[in-house]
Amino acid sequence: MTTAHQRTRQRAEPRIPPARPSWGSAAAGSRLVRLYVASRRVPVALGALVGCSLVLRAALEWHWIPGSGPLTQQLPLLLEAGTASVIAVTTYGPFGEPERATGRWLPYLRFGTAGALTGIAVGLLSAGAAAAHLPGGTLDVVRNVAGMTGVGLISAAVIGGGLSWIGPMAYLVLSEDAILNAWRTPWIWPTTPSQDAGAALCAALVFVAGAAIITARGARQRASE
Amino acid sequence: MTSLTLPLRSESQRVRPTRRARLLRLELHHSTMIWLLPLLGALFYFDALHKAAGYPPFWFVRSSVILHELVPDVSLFAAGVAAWAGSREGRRQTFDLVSIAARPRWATALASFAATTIWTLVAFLGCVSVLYGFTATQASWGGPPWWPVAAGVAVLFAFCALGFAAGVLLPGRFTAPLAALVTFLVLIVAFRVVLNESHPTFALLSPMNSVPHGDAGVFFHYFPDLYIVQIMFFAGIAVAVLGGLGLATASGSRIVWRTAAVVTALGLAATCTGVGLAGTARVEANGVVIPAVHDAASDRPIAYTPVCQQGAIPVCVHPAFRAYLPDLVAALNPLIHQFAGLPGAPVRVEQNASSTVPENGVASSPTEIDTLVGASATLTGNPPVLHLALTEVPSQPEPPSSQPPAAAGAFVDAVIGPAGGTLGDPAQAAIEAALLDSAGSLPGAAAKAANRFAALAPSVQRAWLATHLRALRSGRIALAQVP
Repeated sequence: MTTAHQRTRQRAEPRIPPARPSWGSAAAGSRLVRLYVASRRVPVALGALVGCSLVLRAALEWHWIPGSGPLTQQLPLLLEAGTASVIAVTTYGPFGEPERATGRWLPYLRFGTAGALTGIAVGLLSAGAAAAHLPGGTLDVVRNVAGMTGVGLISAAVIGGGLSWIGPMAYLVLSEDAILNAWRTPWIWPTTPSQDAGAALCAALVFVAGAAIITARGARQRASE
Repeated sequence: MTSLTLPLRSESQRVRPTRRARLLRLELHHSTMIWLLPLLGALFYFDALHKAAGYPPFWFVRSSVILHELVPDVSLFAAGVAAWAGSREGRRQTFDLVSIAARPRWATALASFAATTIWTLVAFLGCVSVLYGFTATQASWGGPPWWPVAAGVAVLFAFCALGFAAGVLLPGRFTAPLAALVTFLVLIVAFRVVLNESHPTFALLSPMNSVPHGDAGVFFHYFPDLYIVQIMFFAGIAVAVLGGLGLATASGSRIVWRTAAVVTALGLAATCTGVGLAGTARVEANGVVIPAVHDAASDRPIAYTPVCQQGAIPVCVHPAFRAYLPDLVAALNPLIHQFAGLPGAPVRVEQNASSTVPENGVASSPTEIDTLVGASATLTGNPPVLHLALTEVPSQPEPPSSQPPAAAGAFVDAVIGPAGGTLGDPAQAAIEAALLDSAGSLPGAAAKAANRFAALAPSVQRAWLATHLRALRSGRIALAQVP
């Protein structure tokens, strides 16, 4: 093939526009979001988050939480870990490679879903504890939910979305032990008061790391899933 | 044309035991629980083993972490992974594929359940063997108690079955985390809530109902009655759930349906029997007695030969406490020298079970409360023998300088204080405090510090408090730092 022939062929080929995001119509955008949300079972996840909030409300209403001592944090922490597990599991996508190859908006949708669900979880748990004394207060809820969601997102990237609940649950068991044994480290943030800046920073770092990994790479796709 | 009659199921199609074993082997190879074994090992190290190491090296006390720490931790993940395994066909939408297979769906489901449960029990029993091996290197008397292990196996079996059934009946990606969440919720909240109720039936059925006292299972057998009932209750739940799963998944086969119905009925009967028996329980000093399963032989004390250290007043302890004898003698020696040969003084100090020596409730001042924590004593007989009960002992033998003064306080209180453990008069309290002070016990040091601080001017006291109150409240001020 001669050089002239190559030039002719290049001119003849249709120009493929670079992969640049285009919002298109609002309807198409909302449909994309709706389909993504449905594929991640976000409505079911919202139901589970509401369930956690109702359990917290019931616990405060019927005094299931001890008034003092290290066990006061046990139930709120469990529900915070539960919400983080549910959020982490929503990262599981059923489509695998085809979705990764064609979905240009996938990183934005992943980040948006994880962030929005974390915010909703904090809001629902705070609403569940409204007008009642929650040990640690709302600041504790924000820090713990964000941090444990970060743990869940990281475990989703490492072991897959379906089993990512293992991360927050393991962190929960570790935190319960740390509270009962009076260990103090900012990396196990539930052991510190809600005003502790170091613990809040650690929780924020873990959340940012989890969100960044899940945004960039998504949950790990395993053949067995 | 000839017609050929084929048997409904050929020889090759018949499900042989080897094929069942092959199915189980395949499920064992593919079980998700395998990947959780390192995590469970790490959590066991940080939680149960760490806590057990903080307990004195007595078999029964150490074994309490099995049901209080290890079982909840393993149950959480076992229920979640069982739900994940149970929801496999639903998640992959292969119901139609497996429904037309030669074997009943119940049988294939049980193989998957068995694989998850086997790995769970492997993890659990591995952790128990490490715990008991660790204890064996430190314990000087007795052997490992197996009833808590059996009860733990039953609890794990039940939560695996419940999680698996949840996965089969409600397949979905959220079933596994929610099963884990509900398991922990049941273990740490539901059973704790019923502990506060007036009726103790369900509280007794909780595997996490109470921590035994320091010398439990040393002088008397700790009754296995409650463990038997817990095993009945949890194994019954597991069997009933698995039978119910058979009823839900039996597709047309009458034999399978009938078998499942019988299994379910047996499980429910065991569960109801467990609840009924727990209702007849009464709590005694050496454990819970359930008349229907109680063995009267376990009421008798365990025979042992005490270990003694000779001296002006010999001090004898149970062989399980052998490692603490030098520390105990060191703590009592100053007092023994003061009292040896005096009229009414003990001729011998013997350790007794804390359940047989009444707690001396002498608590006229905070100092005396500190003195009596962890030990109590009574002086009985002629010649008098001091019966000393050690309810709280440090995890490891410690040097005499750091030995808590509980035994010394109990000794002085039994010899000088009024009989029956009533409040002593000021003179008795003063002599007790002086003797403990000269014996070098902590209350004396605290009293010296109190005297030093009281001697300061009020303005100096206020200035010191203004600087150190926060640290004092949080327990960060040592006795020597008090001005």
